[in-house]
Amino acid sequence: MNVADDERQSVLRDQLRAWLADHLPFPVDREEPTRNRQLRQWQHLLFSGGWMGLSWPTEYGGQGGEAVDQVVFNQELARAKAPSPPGIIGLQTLGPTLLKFGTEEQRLRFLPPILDGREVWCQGFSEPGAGSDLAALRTSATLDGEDFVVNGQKVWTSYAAYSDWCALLVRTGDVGSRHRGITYLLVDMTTPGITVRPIQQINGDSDFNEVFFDDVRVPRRNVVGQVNEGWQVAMATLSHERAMYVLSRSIELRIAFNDMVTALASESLMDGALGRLGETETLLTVLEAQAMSTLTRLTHGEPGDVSAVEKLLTSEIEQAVFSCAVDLLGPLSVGARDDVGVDRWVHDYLGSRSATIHGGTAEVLRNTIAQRLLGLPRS
Amino acid sequence: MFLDRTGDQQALAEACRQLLVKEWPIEKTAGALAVAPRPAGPWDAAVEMGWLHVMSPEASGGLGLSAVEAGAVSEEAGRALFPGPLVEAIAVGASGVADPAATTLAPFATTELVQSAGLVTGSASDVPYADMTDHALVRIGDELWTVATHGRGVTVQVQPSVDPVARPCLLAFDAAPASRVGGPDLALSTEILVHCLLAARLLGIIDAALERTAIYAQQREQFGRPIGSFQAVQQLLADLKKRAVATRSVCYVSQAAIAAGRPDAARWANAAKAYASRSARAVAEGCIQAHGGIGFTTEVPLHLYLKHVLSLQWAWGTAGDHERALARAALAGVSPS
Repeated sequence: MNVADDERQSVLRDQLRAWLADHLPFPVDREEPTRNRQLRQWQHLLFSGGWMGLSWPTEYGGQGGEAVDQVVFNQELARAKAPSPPGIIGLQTLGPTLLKFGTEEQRLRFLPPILDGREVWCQGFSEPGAGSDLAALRTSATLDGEDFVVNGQKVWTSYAAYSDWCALLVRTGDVGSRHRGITYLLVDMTTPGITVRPIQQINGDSDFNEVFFDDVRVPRRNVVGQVNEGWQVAMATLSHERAMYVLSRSIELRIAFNDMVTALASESLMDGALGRLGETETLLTVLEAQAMSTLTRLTHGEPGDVSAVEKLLTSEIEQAVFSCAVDLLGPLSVGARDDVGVDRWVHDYLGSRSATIHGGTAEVLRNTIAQRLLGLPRS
Repeated sequence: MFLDRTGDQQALAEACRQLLVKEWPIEKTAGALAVAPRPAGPWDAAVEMGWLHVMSPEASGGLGLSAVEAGAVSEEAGRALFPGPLVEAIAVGASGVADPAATTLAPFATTELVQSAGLVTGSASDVPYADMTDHALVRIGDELWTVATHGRGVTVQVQPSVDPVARPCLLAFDAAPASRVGGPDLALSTEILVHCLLAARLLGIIDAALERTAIYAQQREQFGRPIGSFQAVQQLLADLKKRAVATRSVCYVSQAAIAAGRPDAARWANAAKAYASRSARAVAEGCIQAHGGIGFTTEVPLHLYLKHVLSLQWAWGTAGDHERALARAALAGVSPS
């Protein structure tokens, strides 16, 4: 057991700190599409410095290191308040999926541009009629020669407006085939027949989109895994996605909390503020401990079913942190006073309401935990 | 950053569990405690197995192991509701200044003592099993002292407790002779270790209560199917499982931080004690709820878990005390001063 860096991590950390000191600040606009373009430039700069894909194999453009290297990377970026690379879905979800299920041809084609920032990915899973019940999805793909022809609609597709490619789940089986008739497709977002419509979220952002597919042709070679076996592909990487979520979110929330504490330190504290701050600090510390546990499991292979617990825990603690911020910063925060930057807390508080919805709602996760970890019968 | 346990550490935990299942089955706990407050069987076994001495220096006959092994022992003791001041004994052993088999440890927060020329006056409450122990390790100012519990100038009185697995005692001193055995550093490291090991004990209770309840929910049928198939029950137990998982993580990190001598060990111990206390309370209450009517009776041992959780969560600072300590540290960390 060891809660400190080993020699290798420590060297990596020092090198990255020095590199970041040389390359920051890297200003990024708030407005799109400028923001997305700048973030891609930032990712390319990171790539040129040898900092992208630390744990990915070298033959696909990675650095061939260990899973823990990626955590050091996330920690140091957050600590330096550096922008996050924009291709998060490619880096955290699609990349690991292709490493596990992709053909060699697919890996060589798709992995390098994920790392250098040339290609950003979105994930087309949810539909108007298939949210928590993902296996009810209806967007169809039928084979026509060497192409699949896709028709249907996806929704709540994050970053679709700025993505080059989409990891898409489609129905290739019969209407009632549920999880046995789903295929995982890689779709070029510039293909004719794709329409993207942004959706405004409650915090003012428009990360979400509706994506419409109208006779969109996708080459058959872009199937990941086997036809009608896309569900297994999507589920196998879900636990990885959740594990990465706890690892990066625990760091980002720590940074946000410390900023809040700094803001509070110069104010006179309201009654009960110390207790509230202490509860939240405790939860964050617990989350940091959980991230160490996640990392321990990742070094042994798959993160497993416990990652459902970690997603639930992380999302609830995220909400606790930002609830604490708006409550303790009180009237300072609701006025959206840009000049002192306090509108950030309202923005992040509102944003945190999605934490218990995206990537598996809290309710679905609890059912998963009950059935997989406690052995309770299906309801 | 890794929380793996070695084969030896796992074997130690397994050996503790096997022995306690045999010597101290939960079904017999309440009855056995009515006859003897610290039954000889489990306590003698703990002495013989070296659990009291798990962290004692090897030079004084101890096992010389770390807070990780002590955490494993404490967790198994919690799981079995082991009777006797085991956490305190381990901390006394780790201090290296007293014999853990004969010395209890007075909680710092409920001790009010002054000394003059080696004579102690004042009181210490909630001292576990002080009536069955020859000596007590107490904090006076910021130093550690030992006093005889049955010597000149000392009266000892067992305090009432809802928890049959605790035996809190009130020690009153009137110019009782005492010996200084350690300074502020030892007092602080002792306090941190106790927070950490109490959290581990709570972790053991959390797992025991939840495992028992999951089995019950799989078997007990209402409306023609197991109650565990109802989402209302699943959602409740899943939240408790989440707490169990997270408590284990923070306990492990706390143990590792002490073992590695990290400067932030106090912070991890505060978080472990606070979170384990709140979680154990939620788990013990939730498990009674999930059992329904029988959960509210003494026919199942869930009440013993809840009662022991009550006394453990009050011992050495409530969750709120530890949380506020963390808040003060966070504020101090960002202040210009």
